[in-house]
Amino acid sequence: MIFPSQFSARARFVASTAALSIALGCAPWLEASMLRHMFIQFPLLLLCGWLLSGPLAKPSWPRRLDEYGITGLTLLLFVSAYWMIPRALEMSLTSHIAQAGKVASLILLGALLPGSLSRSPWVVQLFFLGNFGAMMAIAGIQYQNMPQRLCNAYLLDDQNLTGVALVMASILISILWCARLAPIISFQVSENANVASKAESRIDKVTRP
Amino acid sequence: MMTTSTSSSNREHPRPLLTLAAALTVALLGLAAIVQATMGLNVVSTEDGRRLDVERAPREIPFAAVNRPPATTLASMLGTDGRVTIVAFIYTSCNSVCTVLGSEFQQMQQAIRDRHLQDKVRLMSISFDPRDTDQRLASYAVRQRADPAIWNIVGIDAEAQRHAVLNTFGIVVLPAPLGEFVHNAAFHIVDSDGRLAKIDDFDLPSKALADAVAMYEARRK
Repeated sequence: MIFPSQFSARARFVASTAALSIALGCAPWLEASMLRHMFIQFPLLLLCGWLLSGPLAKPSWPRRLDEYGITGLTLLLFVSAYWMIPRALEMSLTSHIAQAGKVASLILLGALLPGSLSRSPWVVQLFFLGNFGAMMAIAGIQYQNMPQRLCNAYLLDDQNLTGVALVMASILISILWCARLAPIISFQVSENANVASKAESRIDKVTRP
Repeated sequence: MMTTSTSSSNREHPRPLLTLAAALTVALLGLAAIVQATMGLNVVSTEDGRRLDVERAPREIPFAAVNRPPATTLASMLGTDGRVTIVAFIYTSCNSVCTVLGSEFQQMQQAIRDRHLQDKVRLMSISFDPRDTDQRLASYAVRQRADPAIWNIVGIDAEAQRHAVLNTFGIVVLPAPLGEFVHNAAFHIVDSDGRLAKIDDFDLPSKALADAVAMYEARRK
């Protein structure tokens, strides 16, 4: 369900290139507002990586370096934390190196995340995504509470709006995660219950003479 | 029951150390990047970063010809005067923060006179608006009752030179509604050698004045 594998490789490549072209081609317009920068350009770059993630799922090296999805989810925490630092965000406007780092890190994250999520048990996801969501919400509250501008390139209204969007996104991601995982968790719980009752019956057989 | 489940998961994932090493590498690189972006966990905003950067490494002022008085460069005005200069960036049609900066400069001009600091500290307003010709700046100076011995008001006509100065000072100007501009207003303290050495908040004029005097005294010793 996570891998975009139901589409042909060519379709995925075309869509990925299109996402990258919009993210970079419309960069002056997207990056002129903090909200568009974070909530249109970032998702486009993640999408670009995500569409390329199919081939990455096949070789075994990413799996060996990313058991339980721990490496990919660690990458999620650090990449998202980094680009929520206002100074880092603004450096991507003024420095080509920072801009290249932004594009590369978000595409890489988008490419690795589907595999990591598919390999990680729900408890691991709860830990990492819980941290991610909390961080995003706290950053969003900070963005709204600051009386000064955090980026010299963005207006205060834009910063407030981005703060609201960050809080809303963290809530939305939490709801989506719960909705997606609820059936799996309930299934695991019932399976565990079955295992337990079988074990009990086996113990009964052994202990009973 | 417990032992069987652990051994079966070990068979599926024979090398947890590789994952641990990879995750640790990601975490260390991420931490290094965050430390770099926050200048050693000191700042999160661009403005605080600019101020810390200037304090750590004072900046030379690039070549720029000013329009009042003509045939003078900004660097020579700032570097050969012998006094410490408090610089603020303005545009004369401003109705918001520049008006505050203007009246603060008026009060600072008065404070400099009252405390006989005119041999140590002076004020300079630099316009970032290309519409501010020397005539407009001259009438602004009259409106503000600027004493040219203490307070200079200049503009830079050549676009490339104006941008070079704004880049060096780290001024970002954004067009805002109603023909206004939004910019990171502050008091920029330029030492008697003509280097931008400190930036103070625009609502702390007395701190800016005290810092400027301290910078002048420190140079004398």
